[in-house]
Amino acid sequence: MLRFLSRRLGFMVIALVFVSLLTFTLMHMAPGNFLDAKRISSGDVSGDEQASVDVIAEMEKRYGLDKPLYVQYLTYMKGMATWDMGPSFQFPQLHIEEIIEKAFPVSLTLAIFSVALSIIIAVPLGILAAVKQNTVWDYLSMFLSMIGNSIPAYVLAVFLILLFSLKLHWLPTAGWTEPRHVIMPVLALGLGSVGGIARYMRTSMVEALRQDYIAAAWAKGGSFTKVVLGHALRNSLIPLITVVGPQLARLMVGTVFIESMFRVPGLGSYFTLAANTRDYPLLMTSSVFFAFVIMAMNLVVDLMYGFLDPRIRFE
Amino acid sequence: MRKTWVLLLTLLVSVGLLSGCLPGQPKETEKKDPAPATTGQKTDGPKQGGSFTSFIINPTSMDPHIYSYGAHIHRMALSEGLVTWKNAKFEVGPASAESWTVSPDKLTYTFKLKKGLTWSNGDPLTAKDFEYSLKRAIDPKTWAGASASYQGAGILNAVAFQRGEVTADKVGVKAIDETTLEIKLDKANDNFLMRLAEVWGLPVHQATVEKFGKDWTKPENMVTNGPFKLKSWTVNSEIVMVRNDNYKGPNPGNLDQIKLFLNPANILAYENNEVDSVEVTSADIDRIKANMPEQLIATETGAVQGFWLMFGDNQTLMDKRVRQALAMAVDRDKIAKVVSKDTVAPAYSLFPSIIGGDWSSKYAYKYDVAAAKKLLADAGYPDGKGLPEVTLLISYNIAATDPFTMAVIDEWKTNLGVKAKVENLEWGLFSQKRFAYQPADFAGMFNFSWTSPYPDAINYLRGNWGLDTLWADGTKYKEYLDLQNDKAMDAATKTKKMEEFRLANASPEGKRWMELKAAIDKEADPAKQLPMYQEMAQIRLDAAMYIPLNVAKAFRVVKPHIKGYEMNPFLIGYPMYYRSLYSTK
Repeated sequence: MLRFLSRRLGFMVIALVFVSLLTFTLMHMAPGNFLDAKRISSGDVSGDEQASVDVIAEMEKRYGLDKPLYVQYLTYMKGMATWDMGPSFQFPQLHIEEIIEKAFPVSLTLAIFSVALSIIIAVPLGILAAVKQNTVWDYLSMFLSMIGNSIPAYVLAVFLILLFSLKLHWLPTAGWTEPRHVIMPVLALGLGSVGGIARYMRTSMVEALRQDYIAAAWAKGGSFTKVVLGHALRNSLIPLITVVGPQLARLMVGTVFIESMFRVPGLGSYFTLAANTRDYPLLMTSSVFFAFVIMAMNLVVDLMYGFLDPRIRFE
Repeated sequence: MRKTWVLLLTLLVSVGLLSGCLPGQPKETEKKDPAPATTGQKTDGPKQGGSFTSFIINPTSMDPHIYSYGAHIHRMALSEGLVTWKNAKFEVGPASAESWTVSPDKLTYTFKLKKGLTWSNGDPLTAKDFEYSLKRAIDPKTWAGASASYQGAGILNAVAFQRGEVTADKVGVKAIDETTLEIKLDKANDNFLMRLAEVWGLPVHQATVEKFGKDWTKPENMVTNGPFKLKSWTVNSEIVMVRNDNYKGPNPGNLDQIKLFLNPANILAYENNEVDSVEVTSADIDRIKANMPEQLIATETGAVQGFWLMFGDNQTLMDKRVRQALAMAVDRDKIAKVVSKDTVAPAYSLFPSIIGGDWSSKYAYKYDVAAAKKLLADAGYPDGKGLPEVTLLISYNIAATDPFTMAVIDEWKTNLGVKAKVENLEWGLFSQKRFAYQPADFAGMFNFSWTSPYPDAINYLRGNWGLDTLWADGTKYKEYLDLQNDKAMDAATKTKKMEEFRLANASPEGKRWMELKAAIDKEADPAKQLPMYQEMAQIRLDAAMYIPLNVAKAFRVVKPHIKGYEMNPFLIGYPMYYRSLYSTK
């Protein structure tokens, strides 16, 4: 177990370094730089030529952009290792690690709740479809879940706002200060994933229910709960986790549209804006962070395999 | 199996419990304020109390000297400079300074601060604070140079200080005593006071800035001097400001609280009564006009949009008659009305009409297809024959492909026989291409949109759209770019060489433009400067290096119980100041 873990962690570090190098290269190959972005968006095309030259020189010095590329890269990597990555270009008074410390828990909450919601809806749907295979229940539940899958989260979000805010006046349109602000973003994000999870659930349940030991369990007089939920479900959880794990990882790094529509101060808006405004430190961080979260989640999923299925063991 | 269920159940339950404490919520940071001075209740005038909730563009910083929307929020509510704008005409009134005198040569302004002013923490506000702040605003180390609003204010030695040529003590700002501040200019400027009310003139609390460094803008640390103070700032979410009970200046507010959600704005929130005002985009304007026209307010802004000549091997657009023809062959009135449904105003001039005076009517192109056709023929392209396809470079990150632009292309085709197309680039590519040297098969102009922060005609002459880089021979631009990108040369030498190059290689209009600028800089009397500025406006019109198309309009809806909302035409319709708002609820 320990060997497995240490090998995996070592591999993760190598992969992260590779991701950072790739991001750094691509980032600097893209045309435009941060200052151009600011000037374009503020419409400031001219003004005092000299002042601009000075300001640019000052900013380059402050951000270390005047140093050779490899120095910039190493400075940044050192910052990541020591958790002191300097200020973001866009938000000059916020350090990158502050941004992550403040915004990650928000995105994490949103992610956990939405995935929990998807599972709570999708698993029973999948079980129902599998148990009542090829009946109207099967077709209905799969149809409903696929509707959720086909509608993008942000379209769903607008419908939710129209329904719950404008028509029913039950919920405020956006915000993140009261507990009830969680409801619509979670619904928008969660309902969309139901389809995929339900289908996986159905397939693996059907597969599990076909097994000989299930027939034996029925024959021994087992109840529905014992046979289906006790035996079959546990064995169909593995494909489920394979899907849910990365889904959770993707959501943890923030979802741009939902976060901006509902004004949720998560990582999504920061990270997407970073690419658009050429905010190098934030862009590097978002890329590496995302890679880290995905790899960590995959590791967790792999470990859970072992927990769920004793047949899968690692030396 | 039972274990699995217990585990899952525990997970769900704990998740449910955690929902009680939502991370990311703004903490109620109550600063310990000194006991507020007794403020007598106003018996007449607008009702006191109440709150106003709306949206604002996401500020990336809350330092008034660093350019972002945070600087505007400071000016509108949190901080107060020496003077203020009394109304949407930008007439100047007293703020921290209760009176001022101007020397006969108009080069020295002496301000007398109102007595008894304090910061939000009770510290006295003195002239020294203004000296410190004004110098900080122009110090390149504070990055204030990113703001265009300081440009041209003309404080003595400010630019030299920015370039590192002189030290801070040579700058023409001095605190004579606790309540007297003297500002020296390097040339007379009738609009100096109007400019002084902009964001760069706002004071910051020196002790706070020096103690906390970049963290001074956190709500628990911030000390300001305006009628409101910052209660909380949840980045990317919202800003809450409350009444500053320690404000003793002459421009107090009426509301108890102002809450600003950070963009994107959503009109549904207004219809759900969560916000008291929101901007109305062209997508919703018809619906609003039908359902709640009495809540709609609108203003023309100072943001002029148009196209700017690009240089390269291709010389066809270098003939100014071609450009003049393009400028004169477009019926902007019709397009604004029919295509844009009056959501923009037609602009035949680089001066928006909102600045007043006759600038926008006098220095404007006429819509005259016959004359345009003749110009085009004289230039050697009768009916557009022989002209390459003109490319209009835009960027979809800045604005969606504008139907107005498409209509302009159509007018060129119909009226002149000139073919044109839109090239839509991601902004990074756009920012590089627009000033790059173009190949022989490219003849085009790039999209620009710019507003002055205040209605100053001179700003629309000096702040942007100059003829300094209108080359006589477009191919010379390549050398100029090489010079600009020379990393080996130091900044000072480079600037000098670039200036010499421009003087040597500009077109006759460009040369005259630079001559006039130099002459104006030597002329102290604004009355004598005026005819020179007028000549500059005229040659710029003739040169047609910039073709104006339209002026943006700002539309808003405001709930009936909110009064005193005065739209700022130079800040996309946000209020001039939050202090004028009051609630009748």
